[in-house]
Amino acid sequence: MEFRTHLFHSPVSGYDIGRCRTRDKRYPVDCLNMLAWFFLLATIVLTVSSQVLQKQVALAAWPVSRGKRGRLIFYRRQPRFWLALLCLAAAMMCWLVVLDVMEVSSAYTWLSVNYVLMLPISRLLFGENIPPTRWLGVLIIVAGLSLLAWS
Amino acid sequence: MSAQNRLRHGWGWALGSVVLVSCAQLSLKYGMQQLPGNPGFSTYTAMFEYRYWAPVIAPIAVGLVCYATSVLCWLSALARLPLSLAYPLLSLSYLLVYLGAILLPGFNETANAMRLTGVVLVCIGAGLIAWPSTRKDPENAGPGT
Repeated sequence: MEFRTHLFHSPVSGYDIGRCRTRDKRYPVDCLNMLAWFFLLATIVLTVSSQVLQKQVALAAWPVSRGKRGRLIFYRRQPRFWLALLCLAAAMMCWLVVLDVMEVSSAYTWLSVNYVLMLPISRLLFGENIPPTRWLGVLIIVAGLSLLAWS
Repeated sequence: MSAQNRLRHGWGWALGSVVLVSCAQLSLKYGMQQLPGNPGFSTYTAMFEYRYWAPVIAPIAVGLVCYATSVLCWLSALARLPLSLAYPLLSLSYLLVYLGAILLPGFNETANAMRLTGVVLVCIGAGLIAWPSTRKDPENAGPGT
């Protein structure tokens, strides 16, 4: 896993693992790596909660749906709908910070943690029943992510 | 338009959507790579000009537009393809972003066999999750269906 270890680019390009370099000061702590993981986690949590909120609003809209237009009017009155959009916007901000510090090839793949979290959540929160092929899919994703973390 | 033709067009739209999502990620990354260095005191006022941030903002704007376009492509794909065929295709974007970041100039990310294996596994897993179950479980779709 390679990170950019300073928030602003220095003239010397490339990654510097193990040290945190911010504005030409070196710190012994690997704080920007931690920053990258924190913002990645924040992105994942925000997108998952946005999905959950969207699903709740969509479920609430079913009994009152009067065509596409009526449903849009219903959505507009739901605070959860706006909260979901807010979550998405915040997730995009966090994602940009992740992209600044981390390589996109691994960061984007880490977003698949979404699938892993979403399966138990859809079971617990919405009582959906999950066929075994999906659990198998989650296992394969976890295997792939551990290879990614190992490399 | 014949049914077969319609299906073929559907694949085109779905692939276009996947490619656009990957392009969006890559151009967001490209934009963040252009973040300027720590400006000295003499360039302090430049920080408040659009010109200073343009190399960052422009690719990010392109990325967001790519996102919006991919949603539109996705909608026209869904109008022509059943969801069960189209949805697993989306997981291809993991592989596309990985290959783009390695092969395209300007990203300079290192290729790594183990990481490639991991990305391929994640693709397969995500595709499998998106694959429709053989059982019909109408209660999953919510009331009204």
